[in-house]
Amino acid sequence: MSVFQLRRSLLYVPGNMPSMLQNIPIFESDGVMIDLEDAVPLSEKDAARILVRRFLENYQDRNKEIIVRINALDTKWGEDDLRAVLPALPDGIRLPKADTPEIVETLDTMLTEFEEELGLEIGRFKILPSIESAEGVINCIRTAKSTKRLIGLAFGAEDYTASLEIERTKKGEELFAARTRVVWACKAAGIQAIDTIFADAGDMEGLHRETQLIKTLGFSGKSLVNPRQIDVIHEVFAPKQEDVDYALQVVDAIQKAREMGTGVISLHGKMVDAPVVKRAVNTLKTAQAHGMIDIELDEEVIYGQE
Amino acid sequence: MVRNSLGRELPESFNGRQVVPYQDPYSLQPDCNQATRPLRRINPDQEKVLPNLREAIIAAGLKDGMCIATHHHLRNGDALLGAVVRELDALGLRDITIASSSIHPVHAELIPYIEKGVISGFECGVNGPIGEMVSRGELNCPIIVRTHGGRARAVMSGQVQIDAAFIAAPSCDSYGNMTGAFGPSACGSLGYAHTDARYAKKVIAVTDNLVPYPARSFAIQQTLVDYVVPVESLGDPSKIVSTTTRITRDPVGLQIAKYAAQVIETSGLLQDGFSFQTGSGGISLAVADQVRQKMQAGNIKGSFGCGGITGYFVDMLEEGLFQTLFDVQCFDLKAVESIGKNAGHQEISADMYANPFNAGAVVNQLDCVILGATEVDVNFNVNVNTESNGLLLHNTGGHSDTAAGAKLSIITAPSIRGRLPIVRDEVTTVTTPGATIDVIITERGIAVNEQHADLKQELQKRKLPVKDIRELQQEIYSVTGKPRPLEFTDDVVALIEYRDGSIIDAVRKIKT
Repeated sequence: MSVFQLRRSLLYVPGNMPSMLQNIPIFESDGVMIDLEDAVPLSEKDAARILVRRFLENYQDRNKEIIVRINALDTKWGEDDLRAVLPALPDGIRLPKADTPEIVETLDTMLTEFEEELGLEIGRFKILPSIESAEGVINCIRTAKSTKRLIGLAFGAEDYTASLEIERTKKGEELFAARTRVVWACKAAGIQAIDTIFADAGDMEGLHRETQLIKTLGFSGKSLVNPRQIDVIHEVFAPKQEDVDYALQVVDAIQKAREMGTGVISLHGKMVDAPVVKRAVNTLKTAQAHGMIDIELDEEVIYGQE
Repeated sequence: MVRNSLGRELPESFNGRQVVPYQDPYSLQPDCNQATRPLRRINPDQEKVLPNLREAIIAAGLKDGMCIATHHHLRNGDALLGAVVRELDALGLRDITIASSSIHPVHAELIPYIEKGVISGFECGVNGPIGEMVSRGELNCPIIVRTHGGRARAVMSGQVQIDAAFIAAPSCDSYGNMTGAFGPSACGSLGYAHTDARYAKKVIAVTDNLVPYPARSFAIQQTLVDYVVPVESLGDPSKIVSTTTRITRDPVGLQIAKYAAQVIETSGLLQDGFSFQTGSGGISLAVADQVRQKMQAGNIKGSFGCGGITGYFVDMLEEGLFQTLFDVQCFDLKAVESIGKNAGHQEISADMYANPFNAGAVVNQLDCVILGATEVDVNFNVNVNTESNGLLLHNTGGHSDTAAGAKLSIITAPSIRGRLPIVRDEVTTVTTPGATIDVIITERGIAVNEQHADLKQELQKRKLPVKDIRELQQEIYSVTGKPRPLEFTDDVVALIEYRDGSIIDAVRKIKT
């Protein structure tokens, strides 16, 4: 996987619905999270597992990141979920109820065992833990550093508000502290922060507002429940033209600097060094995903050779 | 048996008429004058109003073996055709040909009269149970399916001679000036009836809203009308709504619509003067919505929208996105309301809309049309008449006319329908030739006809999912598998006539 993977939009797809699964290739989200947990009724857990495995085996030309949300590891389904889907090679596992770093470590160990069994590179399967309870929020700073497999932390507001015995509101003031803490944890660990779903698929204005808010807070993307929400989220995350222009100048400057054998250069009187370059590259990759620019980014030139 | 240029096997003659095999979309030339009818004289002391349909049938001189027509502007709410046929039967008439502009499921009420021999054939396409029963061999009644433009051509050239046209007139005065814009059964445009009024030997206006002379506005004028018959009701105007008039919420449909709008934008046609037609289905409306947003964002002033008109196009007219709506048929009640009040909303005849044999129809001026399909094939041929079960269920409408006329004709369809793949090796029935189809859009990719290499390149440059049509087909097959071919008998039950009168395909009885 490249240094930078866009995860603005991670779409939930119920694992028990063939009609939805077959459309995964056509959705324009950055990733999908095939759900074996809450979306699947107890009576269909087995069937969904088989269906998802078959779908993934047939989905050869992957055009987006595939994450499977398994049932929590303390349920009787969690391990069987892994056993069924991992041979079909999803990119990662979304782990529900990641209340403590130890829970994530348990999954880490299990994934290593599966990788050995399947003859895969260790660390191939990524983990996206759900932070969805008071305890999870308290522990998330340690959870974010629990294993190298983490691609980010995903905040889950529905379960979180339930654990606090409060109502979730559209404005989301009740989520502010938890969201901020999750973002801190992620940024400190160098991983991505993924925000919770916006449940009202008919309210595009509300979704726009909430996405604007979480982008400001530092989240890199959002879980979503309906494909119609994808465009709204991408629109909010689209970089501004002036940011793209500046990023292009930064990359140009650092490439010249590399040619001169240095890693620092000044642009418009400001120092351009590694963090500035990294941000610029992220901006350009986002811009590329939005079709705003069409350039080749040579990461060796940008980050320098070892 | 003969084969046309698409390789479709046709009978040499059908229902007593010689079959002209389809060759290509544009080269067949007309070789006759316009049809004529006898002149008539109505003197000052003569009244046109007759007490009922039976008197009108007698006055029109209808006899065994003759041909009648109605229009389908009331769509599935039409009560007139059924009422006329019941009267024909009561008068003991037999062997009557129906040359209406279309037949709808409501006309299943005609089935007993087909069985009884009152009706012996259809010079028009059929939607619904009649076609299904004919396909199964349960009804014996030859059908010739025509496009809207093709029907106008057939009537004007005398290929189809209508002995009596019964025109449902939602508002009509005692001398026959009529309009569809007003009245309890208002249906808006009477576009399909204009040709009938000009060419039928006798013209009977049937109205449930007789207004004092002179009617304040009219679409068809008194000089063309022989009789006026007041009736209790023409039908149920709430059933004019054709399919759906709401934008789809289905993510697959929305994805298709998004691609379609991007294709239109990429084509370069979306600029001042843009002209556009869509149908009334949920995907079509979603495309219209996206185009509308792009026109608003780019401050683009279009020239005209045409075809069957929906409330959505009315909104675009009222917002100034189009200067004119050319309306041959109103698809919903909002369009009906608009035609009576918006000066830019103009009623046009099917002749002006789409007839290939006149001095230039509106479709020739069309930039872009969005069309549907029950199936397409790897040669871009499109089927809208039969479904994958082989049953004749749908009329052609303006499909082949607009595809031939528009600069950019786009087919939008989900890649899988009822577990069946939409892209076939060969369509069950060819309605519209691939030579007139430019782009096929499914949610799994966009296939561009070879003749548009430039457009294909430009779409690829914009990173749209352009795929070779066979590649797209294989991708769909990987989900659905390859369906077993249908089995048909040799009995031809219907012909699909291309807009120029040549025969593009034949529909055969299915094996049961």
